[in-house]
Amino acid sequence: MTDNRGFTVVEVLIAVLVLGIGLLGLVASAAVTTRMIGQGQRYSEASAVAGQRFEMLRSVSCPNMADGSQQQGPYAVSWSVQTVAGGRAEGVTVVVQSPTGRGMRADTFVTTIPC
Amino acid sequence: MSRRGFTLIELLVALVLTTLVAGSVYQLLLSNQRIYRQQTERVEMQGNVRAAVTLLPSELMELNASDTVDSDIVTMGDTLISYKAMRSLFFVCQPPISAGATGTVILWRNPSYGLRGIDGMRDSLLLYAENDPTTRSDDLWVHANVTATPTLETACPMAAPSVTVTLDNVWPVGGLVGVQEGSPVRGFEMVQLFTYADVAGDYWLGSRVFTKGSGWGPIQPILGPMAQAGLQFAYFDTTGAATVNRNMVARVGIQAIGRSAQAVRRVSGSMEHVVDTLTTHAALRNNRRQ
Repeated sequence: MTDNRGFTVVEVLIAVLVLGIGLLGLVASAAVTTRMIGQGQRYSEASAVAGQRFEMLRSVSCPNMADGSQQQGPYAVSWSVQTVAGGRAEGVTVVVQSPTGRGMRADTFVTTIPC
Repeated sequence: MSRRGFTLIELLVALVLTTLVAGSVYQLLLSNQRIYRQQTERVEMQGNVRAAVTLLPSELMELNASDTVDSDIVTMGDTLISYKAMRSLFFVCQPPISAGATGTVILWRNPSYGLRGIDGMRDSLLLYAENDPTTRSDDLWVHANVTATPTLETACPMAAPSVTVTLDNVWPVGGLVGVQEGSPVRGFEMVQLFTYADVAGDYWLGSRVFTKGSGWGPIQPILGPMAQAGLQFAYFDTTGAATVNRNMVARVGIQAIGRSAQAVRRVSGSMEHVVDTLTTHAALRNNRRQ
């Protein structure tokens, strides 16, 4: 007589459970990847917006540089200017607020513009 | 022994099920292919637009639009810009011999910097006139046309290698008097950037160079395809306001609109080109402010 008993229900349930846990991990990593791609896209767009602002400030003579803010499409851009010691340059900080699925995220960019 | 096989009904059910599965797999493949083509076109198009907003600012940020003698921007339009593109840098080894609007200047052959030597057919010179060394308010860049192919000699001090350049159309007239030994000299040619349509009706970003006597040369394609009017320029002064005065430009805004080479099928089923827009700004680095 050959042994044809197969798996018991308990064995099958345990197998399904283990497989399910493995699949859950896979799904979670896919979600993380998607979020990271979204973050990367947002960051590169924010840096393009900040780069534009740096160029705009660079074209303004130093005494006329001033703090300010502006809404550029979905991005809320605010910038502050601080004279570097000695007055030969301006330190510029640009903060770009961009909307994400989990509220607003701020990216900060810093540069120095010589006078 | 029992060897009944399938009944007709079982076979029909299996056939219908197989057809359904095969159909959905085919649909999946189709939509996969559609998305793949669309993404390929999109990647290529975005590469183009990105190249445009990298290349154009690096060309334009070298300009100087603040000198009272003349601006480096020659023509400023919404979709076209002509400018003096710097091509070489030399230094004067002997003060120029000048007679008002014409003259001769001798430059050190080494070191020279830039893409190439001075081309008599295309180039003009900017010569830095120090004038009174005790003040900088009278400093200026003198413009002069190169009349012929420069001659290579050894006319610099200590019989060092030299480039002798004959000039006319000196502006301001007599300005060469203020040019001294050691003054920098920049060679430039006139370049135009614009979009144009080829025979197939696609738009491209192109440039052309001005040659003395024969005008604008053939169009050199740079990148594309672009959307129609896919290149837009805007000009701003130091206060950030738009300006039409080419001596007041402090910043150039550049908008590049790319269009994919092929139309792709959208979800709706229609065939459309993929279009994307990038905007950038270039502050003119060589502007001199008081």
